[in-house]
Amino acid sequence: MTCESINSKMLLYIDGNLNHEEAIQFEEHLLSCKKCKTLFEQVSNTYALIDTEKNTAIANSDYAEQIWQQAQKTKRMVQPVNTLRISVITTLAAAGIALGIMVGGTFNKVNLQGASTENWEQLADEYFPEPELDYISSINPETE
Amino acid sequence: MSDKELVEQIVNNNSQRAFEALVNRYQQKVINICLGFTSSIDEAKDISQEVFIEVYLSLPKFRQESAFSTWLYRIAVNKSINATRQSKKNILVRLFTKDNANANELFIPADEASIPDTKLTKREDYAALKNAIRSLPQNQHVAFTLNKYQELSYKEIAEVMEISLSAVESLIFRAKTNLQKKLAEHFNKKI
Ligand SMILES: [Zn+2]
Repeated sequence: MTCESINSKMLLYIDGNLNHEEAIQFEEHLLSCKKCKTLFEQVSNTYALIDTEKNTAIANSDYAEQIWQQAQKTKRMVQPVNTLRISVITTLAAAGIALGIMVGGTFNKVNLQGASTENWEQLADEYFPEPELDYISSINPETE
Repeated sequence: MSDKELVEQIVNNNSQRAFEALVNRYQQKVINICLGFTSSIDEAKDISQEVFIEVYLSLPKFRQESAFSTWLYRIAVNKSINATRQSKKNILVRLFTKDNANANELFIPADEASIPDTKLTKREDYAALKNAIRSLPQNQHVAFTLNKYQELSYKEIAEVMEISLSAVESLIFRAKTNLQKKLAEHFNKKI
């Protein structure tokens, strides 16, 4: 194997994605090439930090309960039981903004500024959640 | 209790206990998926909470046609992509408006690379890796995250992404080759 081909296969080697023969060639090259060996050490140390990061990102013990509380609040906002509590005007204004966001596209957010705008947007989002761009259902493996 | 039983208890009885059991079962997995897309652990945790809230609100619509976990991971991927797209957009918006944000904000600075208690050089290296991951084409990014951060099998990744097994294999192969290239560039620059 050439240095160049070793250079492209380090992560595959670390994750055990190379076949037996390739893995042995890879190891043999590292034994005889100091340059690749140094790079391999740097790359594998850095790649291992993914696990370090994962082990650091542990949920707090009250994680589930917090989410439950938040979910109950959100549910009440999304499905107001007593519609009289929310004025018709507020709803219509939110509808207007939501429509504006949909029609105006991305530039809308540039033009809207200030804290109150944020509140309006939030309100609009609660009433008319932006349709999530469903990334996964639009995957086309041929394009990538 | 199975996922299915817990889901039924949440939908039928609005059971807090069942919901928390389900969250406890999957919280770490969802956080790991989010980590693959975010620059910081805090951001990943925030997005993961939104994922579970959306799961809760959408459960009545969940038809159990796929496994609960597959459905959950899909929501986690979609939410992470939307959230990071949004934060990138916010930075771009600031770049083009009066308060001049720094273009470098698009990239993770070393001191924010979310691995505490490590030397700065190590964090710089990790920031380079995270930036490389985030600059992968989206399909490669998703497949790599599910494989490396969430440790799903190729078969499970195929189900979550709704693509063939061989497509998964090829995406992960290309992702790792691309990342390798970027890492090599990073280290060669340092010499
Ligand atoms: Zn070599």
